[in-house]
Amino acid sequence: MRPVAILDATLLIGDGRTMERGGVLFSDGKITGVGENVQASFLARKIVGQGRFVTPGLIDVGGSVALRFQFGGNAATANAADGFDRYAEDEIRAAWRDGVTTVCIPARTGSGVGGVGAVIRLLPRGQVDEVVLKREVALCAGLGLSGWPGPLSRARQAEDLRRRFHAAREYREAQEDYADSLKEYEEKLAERAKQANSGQGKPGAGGVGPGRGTAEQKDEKAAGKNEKKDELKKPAEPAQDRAAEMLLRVLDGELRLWVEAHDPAEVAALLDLAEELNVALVIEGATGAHLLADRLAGLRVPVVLTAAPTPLAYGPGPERYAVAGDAAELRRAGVQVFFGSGRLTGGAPPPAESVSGDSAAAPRLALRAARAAGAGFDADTALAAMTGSAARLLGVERQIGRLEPGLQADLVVWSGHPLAPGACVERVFIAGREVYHAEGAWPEGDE
Amino acid sequence: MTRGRIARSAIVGLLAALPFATADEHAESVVLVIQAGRVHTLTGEAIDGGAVIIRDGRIEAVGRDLSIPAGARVIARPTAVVTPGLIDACCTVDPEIPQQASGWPFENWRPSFWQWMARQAAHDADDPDHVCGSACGLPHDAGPLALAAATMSELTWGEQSSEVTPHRLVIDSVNLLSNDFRRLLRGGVTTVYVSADSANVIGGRGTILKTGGPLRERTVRRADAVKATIGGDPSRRGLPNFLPPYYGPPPTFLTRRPTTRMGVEWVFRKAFYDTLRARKGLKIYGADMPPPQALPVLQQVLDGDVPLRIQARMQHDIFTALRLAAEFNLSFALEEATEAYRCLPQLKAAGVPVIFGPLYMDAKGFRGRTDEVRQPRLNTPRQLADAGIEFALTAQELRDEEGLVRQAMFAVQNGLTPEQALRAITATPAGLLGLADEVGVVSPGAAADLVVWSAEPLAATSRPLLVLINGRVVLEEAN
Amino acid sequence: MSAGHTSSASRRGALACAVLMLGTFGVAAWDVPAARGQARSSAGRAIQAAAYVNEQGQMVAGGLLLIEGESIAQIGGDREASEAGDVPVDVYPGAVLSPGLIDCHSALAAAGDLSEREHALQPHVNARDAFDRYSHQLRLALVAGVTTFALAPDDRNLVGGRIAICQTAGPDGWPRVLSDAGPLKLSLSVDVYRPEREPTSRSGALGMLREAIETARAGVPQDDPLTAFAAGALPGFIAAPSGADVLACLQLGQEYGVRLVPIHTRDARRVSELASGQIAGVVVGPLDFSAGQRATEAAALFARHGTPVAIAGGLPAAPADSLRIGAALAARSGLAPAAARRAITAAAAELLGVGDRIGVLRAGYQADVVVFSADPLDLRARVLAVYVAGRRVFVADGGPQSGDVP
Repeated sequence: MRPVAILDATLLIGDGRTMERGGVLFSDGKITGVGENVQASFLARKIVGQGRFVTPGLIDVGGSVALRFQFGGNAATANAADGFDRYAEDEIRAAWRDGVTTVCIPARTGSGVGGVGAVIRLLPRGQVDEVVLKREVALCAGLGLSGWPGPLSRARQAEDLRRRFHAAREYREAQEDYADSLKEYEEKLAERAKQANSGQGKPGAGGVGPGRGTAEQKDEKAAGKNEKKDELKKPAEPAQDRAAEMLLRVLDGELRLWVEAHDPAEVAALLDLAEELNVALVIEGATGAHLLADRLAGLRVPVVLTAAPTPLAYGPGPERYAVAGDAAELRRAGVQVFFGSGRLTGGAPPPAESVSGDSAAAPRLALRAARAAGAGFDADTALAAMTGSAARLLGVERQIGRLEPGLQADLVVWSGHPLAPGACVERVFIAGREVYHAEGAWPEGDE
Repeated sequence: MTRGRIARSAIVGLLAALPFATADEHAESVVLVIQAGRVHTLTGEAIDGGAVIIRDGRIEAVGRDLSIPAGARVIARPTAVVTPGLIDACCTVDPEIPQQASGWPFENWRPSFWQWMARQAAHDADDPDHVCGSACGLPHDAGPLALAAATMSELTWGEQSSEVTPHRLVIDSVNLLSNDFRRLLRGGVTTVYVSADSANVIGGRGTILKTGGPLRERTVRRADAVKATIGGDPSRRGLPNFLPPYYGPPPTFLTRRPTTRMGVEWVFRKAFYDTLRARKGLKIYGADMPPPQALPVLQQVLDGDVPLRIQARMQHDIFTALRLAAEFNLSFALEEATEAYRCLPQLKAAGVPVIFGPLYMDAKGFRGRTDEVRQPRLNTPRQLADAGIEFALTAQELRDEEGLVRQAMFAVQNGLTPEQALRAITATPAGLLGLADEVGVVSPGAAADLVVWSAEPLAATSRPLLVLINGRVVLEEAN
Repeated sequence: MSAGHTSSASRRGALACAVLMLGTFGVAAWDVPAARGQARSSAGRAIQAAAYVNEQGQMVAGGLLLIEGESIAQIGGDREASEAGDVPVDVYPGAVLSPGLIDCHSALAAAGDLSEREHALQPHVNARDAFDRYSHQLRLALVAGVTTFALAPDDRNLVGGRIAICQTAGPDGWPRVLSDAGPLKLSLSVDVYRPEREPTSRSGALGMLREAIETARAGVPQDDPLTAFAAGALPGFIAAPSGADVLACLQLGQEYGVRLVPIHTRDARRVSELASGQIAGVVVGPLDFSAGQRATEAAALFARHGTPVAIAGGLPAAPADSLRIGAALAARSGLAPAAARRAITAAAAELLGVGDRIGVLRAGYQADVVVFSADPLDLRARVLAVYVAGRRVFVADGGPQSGDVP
């Protein structure tokens, strides 16, 4: 593939740093050079970036782009990557238009455990191994998003979640017991075999033959019973439970627990749960989480801010806790904050019109971040939260998220600072391929 | 910067003009000549190696050795076949926008109580794949409620506040921007009569539309025939046809009389009876009175000023329709007429034209859920033709592989001659719509609604290459 | 950016600062309690900022605004604050003055439902009667810069009633009704079709609307909003979400000469050109972040064909700053920045029929001013202060807030 050089642009590196008038080189899908004096080979396709801003492709931490699957409440083994439709080009295009190249799709569910979330690169029609950047990010669950809204169903759902983890522990204990007794059994079996080998030819304790009296028979039976007790029995293997094993991986700290909740009381319940189970928690949605900022910071629970779903039933919904300043307040308390587009519809499968054509819902991450910045969130931190820090949260920081040699060439050329009004995405590269190019479809400003 | 500005405005201009690009492309060319291998004029024999000269949107001449006017744009398709644009005299158009109560109220924000119940039922049954309530996957206990809530709007979108609504216009529920018109065009259909749905005993007035061209020029006739329905559809209380009685949402406007065929007939009779009384200045009273706005329209129907159509599928419903028409001295056209083959002498005697269709052995969709389609016959068009009954074919809501031209093809497979079949989707429906010699024929003076087919239109491999409406190319197959 | 205060404003400023120190996260203090008892100073006051949004919606340098009583006495010019005369001057270094934002269709501060349910034609009701001036929502809107909003009957009735134009604050510090003679509210939205009353369908809705207009025209002229509307004397805001609904509006306008302003329009693709010159304006929105391209570009398409565009905010269901979010989305989708600024100020005022009183910073107009830290279209900009009818009703916490936590 021909190398590409974007020169003379303002580079927003992705870790909060800015490089005025820098260049980015990439070839074969990887970034090969970043700096103020990068030298583009004469073969390279050169893009003049004057006045433009280059960022790593934005990461939608908690989106639902092209998700074609509803996850049930007890499907811990489901994987969101399997619900991603890589041919849904309308939706993918809508995401590019906002500079999003990667999306973390949680296996969303209204309550219970939905499955495992995945990190997807929005490469259209790509091969599965190109598209799925990381198959297992976190075990996803939901709290308080289905059933009658209110404290009762919340308490029940939180209890259900807790019970599932305890059940997983019991499952492990049962498995361990089984392993122990199996070991014991095998040892005994080996011992027996040894004994049998050494005592070969020894006559049995009592002769067996016909013509014995009933009393003797009874004795025999009793003896046989005793013998049977001594006799080795292979322990019964407990049923395999893949879901419980998935939950155990969370309890072992291999996977994070990613829970969507949109009510401060639910967030509090989740924090209790995380403390009790000692699991690494990520809270998505988190409407009203700013009311618990200090606790979240203390427990080092990152928060992915997504819009509250529109309520199913009448009555005050979670939107009453939504404030523009939640990100800033959380950040000030020391909570790691990320931005996601969330469910693009309120729990229901999206209506046909909102996934097709130019009506496809868009993530608008940059504007979400700009809004947070307006309420006091540091703009550089906000950019990092959509790029470098997000990659770190998802464990893909060695592949994407920064403009750095060796990383994947997923990057976006903006007509202005991504958070500025009127800035639009001009080009999007994923793995070095230009997947989107708007020939500046916007009229000039009047100023 | 300047270059950028030009590029930008060019793109923007392109975007803005996109919807009109196909329509206005050839608006400037005053004279257009289409040369084809064969022209089906429908006024006489087909002309081999003929040409059609179009001036200002109308056909100026058609024939073999025409002299081509200077400056004319010539479209030469020597192997192609030209027919008039097809006409569906009883079309249903997918409006693509909500048409009726029971959609999500509040701008798709919050479901209605019943939809909410349905979703809860689906959710509680822990059936995650079908939370939205698609009919196939709902658990049993969600049952009729969920089904009713999920499917009501797909079955009926007429005004339901009365059984008698001839004062309501179908044009008001048609979305001219619907993509369905594009699908009709792709099937070579250029003129449609959009009929009211069958949920009312006497429903709204249909409309005649062109399927393409500038939005301002689409409407041929805003308000045409009044549609009545005899049969099961209006007695379903506005509920889905497959629900057993007493299931479904509680009483609303949608839950109303009549509930039986007897009731349907009564409401029809009462409406015209009251109209006659009102004409004589007598007071009207009793249950099932038509709304006051309906009376003037019904009056016009009685006077023959507004045409009447009656949809009836089964034999006894057709007989009922004939009887009611005779009672009030009404002339009408029969729609759908699945069992027309059983009423041939009666239809012939009454001189009732039939808009037959769609053809099916195994009805699908909402029609399949009625109990009225058990005995269809594929050779009904042939029998209608043999009996000398004037008939047109309609595809109603069907498109593409089951669209209007395919209906005609099936009719030919089942005994109709190609000439008869082509006539049943062009000249005959034009006549039934009162548009004889305006559309449905290729003859001087008619509107230049033409389809250029890749082969004989009723051949299985044929497809439209070019569709013209009022002399404008509205669809052109990309090469 | 801190608000500096000189002269007699300093005492009030100090009080405000004290309140702010006690206050919670980065918001606000009402000036109201401290000031309610004071007699109004007829000497006026001045606001000094770096730039202001002019009548065309453009941001221009210079931002000295003089207030006399409830009105703007002067705007712009090269004068320095010191030349303002013997009036208190509020100085906002680097800030931008904008007309107070106007949400031209909202349910803000509504007490109870905004539609009568038993009949679809309710021309006689007036949304003024649903206005709850003590609603806490008003404060949220005010601190987001919304000074005026149209309290409108909702979309569930064919003819919903009269729109009332209300303000989130008034000369006495309290919210008030600016005018109860706003446009008539109509709707072609799907919410109109209800199973328990007429109409149940789109054809029924349009049929009923035509009958209503014809009846109103045939009847004795009277002081009835529907009669005035049918005669073309009163504009109607009509919910028309789809392109087909806009076409229906154009048709009604041609048939009866009624003045319809389509609102909540989400699709302009094939109708913006036809609408050109046929309608007084169009209201798009509310737009939220997930709105698709078709919805966000509707404003730009209508504007390109010469139709004035306003953007509605959807308060209170949407967040308080949704008006600016809508404008920012429209601007990113091709609406010129000046038009986007006007869409949430001047254009909204004109469509509501109060364009001669509010919506622009012009001498003689009511002094509704929002002080932004930057361009109002920039979502990073903060609201520093809000003035309604010449009175400062909100001032934000001073210094820039930093979210920098290691």
